[in-house]
Amino acid sequence: MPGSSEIPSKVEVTQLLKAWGQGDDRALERLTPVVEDELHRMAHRCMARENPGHTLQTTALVNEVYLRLIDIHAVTWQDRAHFFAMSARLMRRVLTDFARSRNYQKRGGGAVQVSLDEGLLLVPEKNADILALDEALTRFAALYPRQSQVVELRFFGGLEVEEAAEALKTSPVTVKRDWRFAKAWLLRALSGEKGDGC
Amino acid sequence: MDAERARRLEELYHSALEHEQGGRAAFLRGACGSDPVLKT
Repeated sequence: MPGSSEIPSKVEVTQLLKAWGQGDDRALERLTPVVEDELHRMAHRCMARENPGHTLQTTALVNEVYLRLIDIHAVTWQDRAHFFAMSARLMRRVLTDFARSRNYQKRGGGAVQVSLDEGLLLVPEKNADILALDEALTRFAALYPRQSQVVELRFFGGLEVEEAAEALKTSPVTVKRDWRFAKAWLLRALSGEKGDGC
Repeated sequence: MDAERARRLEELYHSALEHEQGGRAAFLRGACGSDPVLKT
């Protein structure tokens, strides 16, 4: 119900996820703040425990939130893919907000580093500066909207090709192509090569 | 870069991957024509 500040139970959150999967947009409206709050809480807890400049494991974070909020035995793999897709988008916002926050800057700041899965390497180093990536991804999205969504899902949520295809209602072949192209584009943009990043 | 150029760049990227390493540069020289933006 709108305006309610009560935290829904695992059963309720799971039902919302399933309802959204069946096309109920109101369920998504209720689900989004719950997932975002949880991601926010977990990300901040991780960052507070560690020294500034340490590396954040995005995929592990989303996984932890998933296990805390969802009754995993009650959902299909499609439901799971949708959850991870939404979390990936929220994760991007949570991390960039955090990197810009005064609180973080006060503690010594530095770049917020995110760790990439071996299979998801976007940059030569294993860690990428989140703000630089966010900025490059925004430029990329202006030219290639669908392709940038593939990056968001794979990079921030750790979605597999099949899951990303389900979330975007496209084919795995398209996701693979988009991912390959996006990596090449972003790699060039992040490496600061000359040209306008096109 | 406009939308049409962006679309062409993506197509070129995928086509270039289908060419063997050796023939790739020649393929791109031909395909980019005189477009300076695509060439960079």
